[in-house]
Amino acid sequence: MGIDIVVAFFLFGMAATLIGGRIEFPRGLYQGLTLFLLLAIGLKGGVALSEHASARLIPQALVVLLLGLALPFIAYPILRKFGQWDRTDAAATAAHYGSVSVGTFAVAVALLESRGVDYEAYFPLFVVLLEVPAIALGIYLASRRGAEASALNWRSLLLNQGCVLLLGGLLIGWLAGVEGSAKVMAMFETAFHGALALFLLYMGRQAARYFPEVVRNGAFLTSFAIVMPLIGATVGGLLAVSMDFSTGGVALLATLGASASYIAAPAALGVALPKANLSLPLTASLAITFPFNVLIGIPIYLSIATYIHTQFA
Amino acid sequence: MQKQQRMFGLFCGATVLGLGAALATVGIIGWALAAVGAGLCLLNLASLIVPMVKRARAVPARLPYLANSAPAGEGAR
Repeated sequence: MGIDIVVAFFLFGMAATLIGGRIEFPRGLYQGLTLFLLLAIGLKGGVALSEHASARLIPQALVVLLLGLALPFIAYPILRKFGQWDRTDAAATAAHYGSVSVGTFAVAVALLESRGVDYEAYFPLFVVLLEVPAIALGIYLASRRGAEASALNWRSLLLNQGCVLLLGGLLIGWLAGVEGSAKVMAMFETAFHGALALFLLYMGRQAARYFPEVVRNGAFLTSFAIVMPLIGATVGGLLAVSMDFSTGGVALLATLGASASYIAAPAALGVALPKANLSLPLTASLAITFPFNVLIGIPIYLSIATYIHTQFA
Repeated sequence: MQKQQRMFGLFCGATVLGLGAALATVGIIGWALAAVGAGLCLLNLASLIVPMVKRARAVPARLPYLANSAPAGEGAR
């Protein structure tokens, strides 16, 4: 089985940086790629929503919200009890692992499409739903019993770029429908994989740059950053099976459960928890969990989802 | 604290290794996961053992009479 082409870009970025090769990204290209990917995912989800919107979506959305709230409650005691981390760092890291990574989601979508696996196309809505609650919960966990935390700025949390662009794309796609969006969808669909490849090249470089931090923080952080995605994937996958999702849907919710935020969460927590050492969750999510999910996790979640559907359907 | 972290890491490594092996037996690509689990076990074992070896080596330095003691058997004579 050949390696997925977009994953190859990630490996290339990582390997080139590790051997000291220089890959310079023009200023603003990363922001441009993120903007494109978020809008492409949102638009596609919105168009699908215009065709398949049903009342079933409401209980599903509530269950997905529950997933976002459950994951920090699993991560936090692990970090407190076994890692002996202080309350603020444990809560900040738990919030990162309850929130989601749109980059990981995009890789999973690309893999499903390249293998021709069907999935519930309104999943971008779930990405938006999963982005925020865990961050709010992390701030609550940190601020219990008098620990220092600034008041949660709901406005900036809800209006972060990821949420705004995904929701905007969803809304536009939903309002325009299949025919109305055809003019722009051609561009977004054709360029999606190319943009994702460039995005992963950048992410590979960033992950490699964090490797010295991984070495400094040692074995516990590495162990946590590999086990927590597996726990999240199991919880997400089980919830998806219980809601009778398709094979792709099970793989996607497992992926969302397994992913950890590295954009929205650090931005929000940096303001709300000024005492938190954010290099810990950033290193874990960016340099360990993201590569683990992209290289090993997502293909396994898809294989397990396929196995479950063929054996028990 | 360090020991608790290492034991947790060892448990995680063993669990991931077992999960990978179990997946491989039902035909799912689990070998990569098993390799990650083995790597985690080794990483945590190393960080558990290396400080112990360092401490053991440092004992004669802390107890000069041990470092300068006569070879074994000589005291018995």
